[in-house]
Amino acid sequence: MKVAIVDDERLARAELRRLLKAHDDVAIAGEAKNVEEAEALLQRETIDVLLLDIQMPDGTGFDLLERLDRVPAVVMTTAYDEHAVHAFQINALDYLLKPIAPDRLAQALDRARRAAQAAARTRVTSGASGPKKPAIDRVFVRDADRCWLVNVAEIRLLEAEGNYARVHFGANRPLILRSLQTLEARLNPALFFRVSRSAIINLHAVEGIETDVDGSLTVSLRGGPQVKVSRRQSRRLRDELSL
Amino acid sequence: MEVRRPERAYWLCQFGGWGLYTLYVLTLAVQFEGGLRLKSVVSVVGFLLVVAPLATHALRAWILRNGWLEMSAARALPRAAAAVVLLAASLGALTGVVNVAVLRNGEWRTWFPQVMGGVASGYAMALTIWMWIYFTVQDRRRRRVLEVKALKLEVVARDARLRTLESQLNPHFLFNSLNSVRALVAEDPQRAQMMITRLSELLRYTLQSNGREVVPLDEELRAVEDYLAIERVRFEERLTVDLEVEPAARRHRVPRMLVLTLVENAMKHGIGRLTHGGVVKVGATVAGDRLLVRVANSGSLHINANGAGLGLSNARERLQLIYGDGASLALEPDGAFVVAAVSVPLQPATAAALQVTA
Repeated sequence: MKVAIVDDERLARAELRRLLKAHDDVAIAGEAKNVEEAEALLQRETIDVLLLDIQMPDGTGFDLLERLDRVPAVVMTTAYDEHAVHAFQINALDYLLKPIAPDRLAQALDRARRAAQAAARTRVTSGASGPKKPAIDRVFVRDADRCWLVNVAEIRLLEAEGNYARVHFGANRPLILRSLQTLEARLNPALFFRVSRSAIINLHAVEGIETDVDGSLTVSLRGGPQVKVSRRQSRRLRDELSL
Repeated sequence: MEVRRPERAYWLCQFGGWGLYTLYVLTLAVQFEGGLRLKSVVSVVGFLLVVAPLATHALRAWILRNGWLEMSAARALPRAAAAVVLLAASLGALTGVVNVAVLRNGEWRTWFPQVMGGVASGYAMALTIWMWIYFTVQDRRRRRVLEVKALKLEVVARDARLRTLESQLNPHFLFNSLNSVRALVAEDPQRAQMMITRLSELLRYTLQSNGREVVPLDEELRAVEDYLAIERVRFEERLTVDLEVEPAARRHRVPRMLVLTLVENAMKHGIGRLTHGGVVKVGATVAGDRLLVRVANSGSLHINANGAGLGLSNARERLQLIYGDGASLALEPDGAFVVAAVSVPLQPATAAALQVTA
């Protein structure tokens, strides 16, 4: 398991390194002491688990996550149980309070291992016809004062809104600054389908399909809106679902 | 609270008042009867120094039980008047009955209507005066109690406000420091020991106020030095500290934790936001009758302004509560630095008063 450490204090990084030595399957892929360095490190290396501090000189850990195309499993490390941690609502793998207790770290790494195995399984089942780059497992979404680390599988629908994409998951539909093209390239094509110029749906979230007079389809998503499928894509979707 | 003393003053007034009235009635008796007759003296002293005080004491109990003191004048006055008339009539009647039937006082037998009328109206006058004195005294006392209560509330509110304004050590700092100590234990045990000592001193200072609102600058600066020594361990080459304090300034007083708050601010909003770190300068001088303390950090006000507001506005409000308009706190850019400048009078006026509240 490849781990990266991001913290602005050298001693805090040294302490984490020391604690991680107890775990044989953990390889430290790199360290960074601010958001900028961390971004470069994560573009260079493919990381399984990111141990991430919240306060850094040039921004917060959330700022870093927002800049990443590919978000690894994240374990937040912080000195104090502040509201920033609570604001981070969904799917941060874990968070550790400094000084970090060794058994709490072991627990967090355990979770990371299980998450990685689960992700690997989905990748295998989704077949070899994947995109050139491996599909992303999660996206970081920030909306006003809330943020989420969303598992891609939980996303029902992505809608284009100008330069932004509206992400529908659970009861939330925040906006992220990403075009549908960029997102489509990173999503698992066995799971996500581009229904029109302005929408991508999760095929597992499809609840019902209706055929319109002109032969195009309208898809009802579980717990979400109905989405019109363009005429061209309706034909492809029929093939895809072998209707 | 004070139960005994008002009670004694009350009885003193009761007997003092009735005593004076007794003397007055006795002089009248001397004039009318041409001397003091035993029966009259017994009647006057018995009624005016024993029965009347007991009667008015009962009246007081009645007044208190029925809450006349809390009533508006419009409601209390008719009640008081009725009480005076009723009580004067009953005391007059009782005096008459006792003098005629028990003492067999000759004066009373011959001049009954006149004597009876004189005695009853005398009671009415005395009771009116009694009523007036009682209500006036009670009213004054209640007003004073209310004033004291208001003053006490004011002090309590001010105290509470000061306590909430006094900054606590930031828990973030505390746990980050402990994290650094944990790392140092393996890496450099001697520095770890130094840091534990510094941290203990600092915690002791921040936790033990002993009710003191102001402390000698010297004491405050020792805490600041502990704080900065710990931050130097955490920030390493990213923090340079520069202390320039005039020896004469050290013995003058500053609000406890004030300089520490400014230094914490300088770290959090200044050095903490600079990737390559910077300098924190602490300076203090005496200028005339004022103590000037400056805390400067590398960086720009733009970065500092972000969130620095609360700590500073709390510090300002505290200065206002302690010194009134006699102190100031300003945050301004100065070249490549942001400077927090405090100016306080050398002899804080309310310092002594503030030390009482612990």
